[in-house]
Amino acid sequence: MMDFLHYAAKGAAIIAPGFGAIWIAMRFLEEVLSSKTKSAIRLAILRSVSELFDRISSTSDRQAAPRGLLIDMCMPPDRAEDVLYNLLGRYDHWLQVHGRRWARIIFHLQSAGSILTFWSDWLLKRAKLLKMFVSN
Amino acid sequence: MLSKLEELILLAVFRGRADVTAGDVQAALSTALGREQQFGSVFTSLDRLSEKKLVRWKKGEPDARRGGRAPRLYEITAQGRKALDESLRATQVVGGAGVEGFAWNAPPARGVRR
Repeated sequence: MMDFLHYAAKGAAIIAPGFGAIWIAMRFLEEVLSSKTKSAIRLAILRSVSELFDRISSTSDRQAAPRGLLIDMCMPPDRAEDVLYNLLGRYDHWLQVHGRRWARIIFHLQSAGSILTFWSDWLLKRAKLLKMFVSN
Repeated sequence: MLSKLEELILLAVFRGRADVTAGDVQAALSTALGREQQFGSVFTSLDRLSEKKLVRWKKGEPDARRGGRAPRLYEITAQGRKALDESLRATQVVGGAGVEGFAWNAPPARGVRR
């Protein structure tokens, strides 16, 4: 349970500040500036946000191997390291056999499967312990 | 008693002798079964085998080509070899000397030693 809360908090810690900063900036604009300046700055913010998203999507180069961010975020670090090492090793094989598009799809499906299996096994172990504790 | 997947994984680790990664096991199973084996089930089974002390693992060297990540290298233990031996023997005993209609039980081709 503590592990789950830890990873939920980790995810929230990554996402929340970005949204928080945008919300504070918008509130600041609403309160302080005149309507003409507001719209100009809003436009500038929208442009910079769109540029930022463009930059993020262009760095996740479609030619390169996937980075496995999902695994890094959803699994304990030592386990994630091993899973990613093996998945990236097999990615080269999938690339040769199935081509880039399918290799990426297989990689992401295998990643999602590994995460689901890991956490379902984790839950199952706890449930067994609980059952033993209750029956005693 | 080992499950079929555990038996196959133990065999793959045994055949690799030492320093077998989960990727090697997955590749061996995928080739043998003719379809892409789920990595998740391989990792979970290896964890269970490790808890039962049938395999042991050590951390390998980090690989710069894979983002400096280090794999777990698996090796079969003496207890694992014993369990594998028992499991294979049980299969052989239940299968008996001859079950007709199965390819694995077909007589060997001329000049091929079993």
